[in-house]
Amino acid sequence: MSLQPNPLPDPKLAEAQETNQSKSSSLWGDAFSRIVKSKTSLIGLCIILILIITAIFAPLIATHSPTDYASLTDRYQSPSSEHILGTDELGRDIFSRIVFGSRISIQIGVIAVGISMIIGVLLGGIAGYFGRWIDQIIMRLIDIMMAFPSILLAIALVAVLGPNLRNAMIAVGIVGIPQFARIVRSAVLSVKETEYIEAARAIGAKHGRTLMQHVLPNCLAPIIVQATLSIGTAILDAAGLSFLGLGAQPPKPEWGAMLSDGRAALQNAPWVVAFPGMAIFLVVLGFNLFGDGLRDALDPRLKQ
Amino acid sequence: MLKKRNFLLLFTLLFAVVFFLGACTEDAGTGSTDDNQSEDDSSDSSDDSSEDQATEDTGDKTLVFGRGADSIQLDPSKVTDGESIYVTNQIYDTLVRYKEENTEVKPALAEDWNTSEDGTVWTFKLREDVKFHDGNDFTAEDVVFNFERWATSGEFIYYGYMFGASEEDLGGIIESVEATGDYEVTFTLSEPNAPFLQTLAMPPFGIASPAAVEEHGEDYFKNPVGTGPFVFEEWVPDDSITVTKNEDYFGEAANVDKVIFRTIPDNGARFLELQAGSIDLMTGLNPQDIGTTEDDSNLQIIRRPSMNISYMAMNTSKEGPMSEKLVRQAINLAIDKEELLTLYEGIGKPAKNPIPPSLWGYNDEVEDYGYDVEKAKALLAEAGYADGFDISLYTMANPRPYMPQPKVTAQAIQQMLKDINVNVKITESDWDTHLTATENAEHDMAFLGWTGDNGDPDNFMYVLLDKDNAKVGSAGNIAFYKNDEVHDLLKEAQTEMDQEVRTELYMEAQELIHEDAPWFPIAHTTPPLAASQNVTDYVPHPTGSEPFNLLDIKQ
Repeated sequence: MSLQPNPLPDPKLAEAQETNQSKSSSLWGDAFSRIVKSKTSLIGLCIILILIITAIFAPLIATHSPTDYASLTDRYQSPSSEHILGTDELGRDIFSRIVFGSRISIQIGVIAVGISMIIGVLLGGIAGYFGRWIDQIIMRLIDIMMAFPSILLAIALVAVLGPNLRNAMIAVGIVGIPQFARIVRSAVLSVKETEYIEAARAIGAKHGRTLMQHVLPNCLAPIIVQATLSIGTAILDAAGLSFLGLGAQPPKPEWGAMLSDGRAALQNAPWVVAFPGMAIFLVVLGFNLFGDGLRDALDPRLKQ
Repeated sequence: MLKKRNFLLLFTLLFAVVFFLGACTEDAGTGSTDDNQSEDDSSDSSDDSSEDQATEDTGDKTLVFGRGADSIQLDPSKVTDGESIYVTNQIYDTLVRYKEENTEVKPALAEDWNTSEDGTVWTFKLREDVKFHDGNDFTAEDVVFNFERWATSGEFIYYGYMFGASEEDLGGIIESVEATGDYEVTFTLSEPNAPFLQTLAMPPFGIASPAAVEEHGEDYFKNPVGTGPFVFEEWVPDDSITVTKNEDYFGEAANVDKVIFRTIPDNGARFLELQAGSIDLMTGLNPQDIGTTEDDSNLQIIRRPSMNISYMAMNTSKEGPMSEKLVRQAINLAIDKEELLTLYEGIGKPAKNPIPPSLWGYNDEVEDYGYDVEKAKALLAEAGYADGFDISLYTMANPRPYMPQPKVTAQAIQQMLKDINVNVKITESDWDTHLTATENAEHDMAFLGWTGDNGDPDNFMYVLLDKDNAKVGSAGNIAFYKNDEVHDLLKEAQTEMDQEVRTELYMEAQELIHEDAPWFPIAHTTPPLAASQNVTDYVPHPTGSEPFNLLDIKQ
């Protein structure tokens, strides 16, 4: 660890700092202060916090059971004080279902993006670091994956694995790999030319150690930005799969599945579709706003 | 700067290539060979076609029929799906047809018929004034040609189902079909077959023009030629099929000049088109939209008479709880059918037998299990499952005419069975996958239903619950219910010609089936169709489709 030169390893970052000496010297501290200054990313952050709190305290917030109906005669009730967002096609409370659905959405976001990130970072890191034919093989494979429309690839994967929530998360995760691989590869390409990597190699650090301990940690900023942005996309893709009946199986209160189940009554009971739709919209918007803010904050070229 | 310019250049080149390729493909489509004019050509041809359509649509009386899926083939002898039959019912005639509102038969291509004492020889006298759409005269030889064609390979599915044909015995119970005169056909059967005449009226046995079959070979299904009230004109896959009026039809000539069958997969989208007036008649109305339709002064609801059943089959062939009669009875007791039927939005009546009450042979003496959770628990305990068990329920994702909301129905059953500690895992898949999975016996429990083809109880009981049809991979009996006593009764009923004796046999079989409980019978429905008020004299047939020559449209 002693070889890691300073908290601002990127040469561009270093340059930027030189011209801006009065600012704080910490990348992360800097980024945080910039996020707080940007209104849109603050809104995004709030939405994400609300989502997380909702998911944690779901049993306390929900007013009814998310999976059980009380009576089939309560179907398609419009919003009232008893059911604040109305009831669905089976007489279940939509508000409670959305609240519990937030757990599923977070789970999907974290696990799917986790899968894409771990595999994508490894592949991209190896490709960028070793270059030559390894790079060629990995990146051409990534190109092939990118040639498929992502949702189509996900549908094909679920069709092979079998339709359930776990497989939907795996499929969405796999579909996200190319994005990470490309971003990490380009970051590694610039980092590996720096002097401190050369120094590490010079004192005999093995490839594995150099890559894992020196190169990748210094590519963290773009990975974090990509991960945040990907969570929104992953939630949206998984909702799409559930809408098609390829994701969460009933009676799981997954938002996409709720949309799909409610659309038969679109004309008569629009609330059955409207509220889960709104939930998806807000959460994806939240992650996108926050991700955008994060990107701006971590991009040294925008630092003024 | 240089880099930027290079990039722009590349971009422009890319666009050029894309446009060039686009023009080429258009060329191939229109058959033009002049390279210089390729762009003009393609834009012209597309203009032409859209103008054509516009003028055609505003011309004669046209009925636009909206439905959920495209036909698979327009050769009815090779298909089992209702969407293909809808169209072929317009193009072909059978020897006999069903009456307009029930399944009694009336003369069609055959004017008259008689049968020998023992029921094995049938002689049909054919009409002499019938012409195929290709201009050829219809004679007895053509009937022989069609029956011989169906008996040449296993791909003519319904021929196999109805006449007991198999790989080894391609002809089944039909030993010979002979032209005993220019306009007389004689069938010789190896054994008497009670539903024979009913069966001949089924749309899959529509008589095709031998000339067209020989001319088109493998592609015949895209170029159907029959004798029916409408002539096939055009098929745009997954979009529309157009048929036009047959001016020389031997029966009542059609009132409308053209029928366009449009495929609109989503029930809601189809209903919006009906409201907007771009289609005149639609199947697959969401039951939730019945109220909206009734309130709309431009629309009407037309209810198809009930001849179907929806059920939850329990796979008796799987080791475990479902192979126990007591468990199956307990499940029957644990589901509140009354409450479940609220999910049918008023189009379903509770079912207790495998055949609908509109059919002869229905056993009304059978008493349904009723809803009794305590008794269900007792039965489970007796069977050794007091603590309950986990079980799978397979359901199709999309509504069917006999089951308007399969997903929701599955979830309601899931919750009801929790009361007897039975933990249901729902597996939902699209229609094709669902059929394959259930035919392969992957399920513990599964939803399915059946719409009668020919108005004979045999068509329900034998197809759905006989051990002959419980073969893994092609099962119609997805409960894999095998009861020799039932099998003997059903077989005897098939060869018995006296309807009263047959009624007795079916009554007895229904009691045995009730006791063994291979199904949880759910409901018989009257599937709603929605139409514009302009559509008149439309009488939906219980078998699921009908010729459109009698209906009319005000324009």
